[in-house]
Amino acid sequence: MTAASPTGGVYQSLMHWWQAHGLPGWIFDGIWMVVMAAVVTVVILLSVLFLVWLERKISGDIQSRVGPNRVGGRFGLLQTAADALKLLMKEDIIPAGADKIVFVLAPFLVFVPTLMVFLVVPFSDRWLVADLNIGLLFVVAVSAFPVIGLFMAGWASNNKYAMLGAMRAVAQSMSYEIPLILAMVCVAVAAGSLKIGDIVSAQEHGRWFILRFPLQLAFVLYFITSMAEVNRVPFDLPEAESELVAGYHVEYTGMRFALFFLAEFGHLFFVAAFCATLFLGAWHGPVLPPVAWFIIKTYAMILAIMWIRWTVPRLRIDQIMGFAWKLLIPAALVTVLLTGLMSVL
Amino acid sequence: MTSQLDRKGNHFADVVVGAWSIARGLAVTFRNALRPPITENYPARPPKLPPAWRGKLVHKRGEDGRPRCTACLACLKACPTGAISRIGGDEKKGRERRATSYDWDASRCLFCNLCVEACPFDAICLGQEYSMVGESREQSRFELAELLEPAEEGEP
Amino acid sequence: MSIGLTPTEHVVLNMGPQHPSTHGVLRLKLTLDGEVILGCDPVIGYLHRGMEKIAENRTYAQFLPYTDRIDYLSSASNNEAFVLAVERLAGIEVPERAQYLRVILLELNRIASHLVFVATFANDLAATTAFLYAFREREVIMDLFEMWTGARLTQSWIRIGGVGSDLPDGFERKAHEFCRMLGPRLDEYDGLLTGNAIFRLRTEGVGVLPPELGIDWACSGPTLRGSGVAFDLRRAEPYEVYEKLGFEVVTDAACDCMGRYRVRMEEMRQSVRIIEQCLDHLPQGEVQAKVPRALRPPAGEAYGRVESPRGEFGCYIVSDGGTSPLRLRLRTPSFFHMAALPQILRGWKIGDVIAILGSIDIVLGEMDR
Repeated sequence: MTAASPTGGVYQSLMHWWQAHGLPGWIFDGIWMVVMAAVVTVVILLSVLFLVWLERKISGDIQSRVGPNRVGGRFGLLQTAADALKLLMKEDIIPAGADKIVFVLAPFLVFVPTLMVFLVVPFSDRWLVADLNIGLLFVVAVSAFPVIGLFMAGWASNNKYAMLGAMRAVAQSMSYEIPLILAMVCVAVAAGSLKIGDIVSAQEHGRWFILRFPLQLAFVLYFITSMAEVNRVPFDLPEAESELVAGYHVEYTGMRFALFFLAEFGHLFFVAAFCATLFLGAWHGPVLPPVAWFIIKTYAMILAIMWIRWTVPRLRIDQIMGFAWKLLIPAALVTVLLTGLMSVL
Repeated sequence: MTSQLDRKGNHFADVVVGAWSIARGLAVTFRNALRPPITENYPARPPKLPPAWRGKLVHKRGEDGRPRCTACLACLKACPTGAISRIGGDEKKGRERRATSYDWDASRCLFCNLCVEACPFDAICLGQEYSMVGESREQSRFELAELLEPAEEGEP
Repeated sequence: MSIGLTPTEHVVLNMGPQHPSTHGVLRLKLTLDGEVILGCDPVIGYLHRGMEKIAENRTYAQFLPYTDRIDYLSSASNNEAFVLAVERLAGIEVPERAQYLRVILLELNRIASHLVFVATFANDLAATTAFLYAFREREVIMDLFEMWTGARLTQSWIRIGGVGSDLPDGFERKAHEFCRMLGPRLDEYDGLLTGNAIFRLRTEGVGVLPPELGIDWACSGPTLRGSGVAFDLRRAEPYEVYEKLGFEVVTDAACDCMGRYRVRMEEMRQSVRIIEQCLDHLPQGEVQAKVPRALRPPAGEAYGRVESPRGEFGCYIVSDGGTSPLRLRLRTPSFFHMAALPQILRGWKIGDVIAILGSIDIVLGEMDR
């Protein structure tokens, strides 16, 4: 927590008050960290609950049917809460022969990084938990963690098919991280810094990065690769139910499964929010308060991702890999080259 | 058995054509999202069933209010699954006879209408009732009294 | 076999009877080398209900509702095969109006079955939306059936000697409306599926069935016509009034999953053509011939074959002059296609099994009887 962070004002004044009472500063730091973590967690969980409901309603609209409409009024708003409650009450089964420690740890290794990465997302001009100097790098590093958790889940399940699903998921994740990082590199070059705050301020007054050539290409790359990172159709082979292999989380029940599920939607929310931050000018916008613009842009991205999910079929694993290595990576390299050229000219 | 992407060809053109085809698909989904849903809110609203609907067996009443069925056993013989059983009538003969017992097992019935077509007196039909939920096998077996259509006002 | 010094083995993967994409209770024992399929051993019989044996203990009229449930997705074609065989044995003439009504029912069943094919094929490939669109269109057909016959799926309305009842008021108008509506909807499916780059990647060139192999293994219907062989029983051995109707036998030279899919899509349009012609030229008359209550066809044999949405569906009856058949044999297309499946699957990857199995469009009810 640096004093220069946007929430520094609140932090500073509370710290002064705390120290004025003669209490040691480090205790306050500890309490502040816990409170911030709790706030972020609650915000994300509520958003995820809403997102699951939204996905079901949107898919219903597209498919000429009504989504949830019984639990919680005409719009079924409490449906996700009911589903989460149901999952909590399910029997917790750990397969015989499974590696218990790894099995139990895996969902957390998938869920916690998804929460962590929200520390650098600017929800508004005053609401940013930590504006790290290496914000972009932090995102890249932390986003790589869920892959490990995924693989642990597949391995620890003691199940041939879960293992196959996990290996495919790892191959897919790692292959798509390369164009993802290269797209983010383009943004860093355009902004001249890895700090999220700098990227945001470089886009003020309507100079969104998506309007800058060649960052449109970077946007497209980021959009496609982030769908692959979140394991959404057309890249959802690792968790496909209608394919031969049921997926890496096939042996998980109850709350552990809920953690995977929530992590996926949390990751989706992050990816959309980050896309809005990097390319669509974050919270900048006229008239409305910044947080409203943030929400509008994030949900525009989320709706686009959902729209694609309910339209296109799924790719086969070799097609997914071919698409990444033969198409996206060369395109990403070309984009980096062009961005470099444009920033020099 | 090679992947499509190993084919020789103009990759750039393939990308453009591919992206355009996905855009067409998105347009279809978008158009459909604007159409109203076709879901019927059952069971809050009852379904609209046509007159020909083949539901629970109904015994029709004659002019005198008694069941038309003469216990001639034509339906029992026509039934493929043996859903109709224990047909009994009073001691009269022929057209004057009237049924006193008639068992119909909804769990065996195919709702195929053969019994209705076999009946020479138009005494039975498959009606509009669709919900024959029960908690045991016995509850899916119905007797004559439960199958008779409701009496008209003022009739015995 | 080994790659260099690392020994590898063949794995037997069981695509068990409980699987969302096997279209029923089917078990495939796949022998794999990595992801490549070396062999496939289908285990069937999970839905065997003893139809042929039941037929020996029912009268001809009583067995009719059972035929519906063989290929439950297009029950009228099963009725038709059975009824053709019986009418041939007993020498029953069906009135012309009844023949036209039968064709209307058969073609509506064909469209409904092909819509289920499109829906389940797309759903297996994760295009869930197409599944719901196809079922939305199918609901209109179900409403038409309900209005006419009283039942949605297993209508049992093609009876020995005619049909169960005449068309109710308003049916022709609704049927015409449906025919008008279906064309643009099929165009939508083209936009959503047929031209879609990902759908094409999954189905083009996948699951090639050479025509010679198809003929050798007794494939029929869209599975064979998707390999360019123009064999359609409605033209090869016409029954009912198909001779008088104008429609095309749809073939596709592609021999792959996409070819079979395209054949079924176009067949739906041809069925709409047939239905409209029937509705326009429907003659007046009876809808049921006089059939004795206890039908005793003379001793002999007859084979009634129809072009069901899956292929050649045949019913072979041996009669000894009694009220029940002596022997009734059902020739079902899915059984023969399943026999050909190991030939088609060899060399493809696990991910292709779903697409290939879906494109052959089997129904376990008719495969296992």
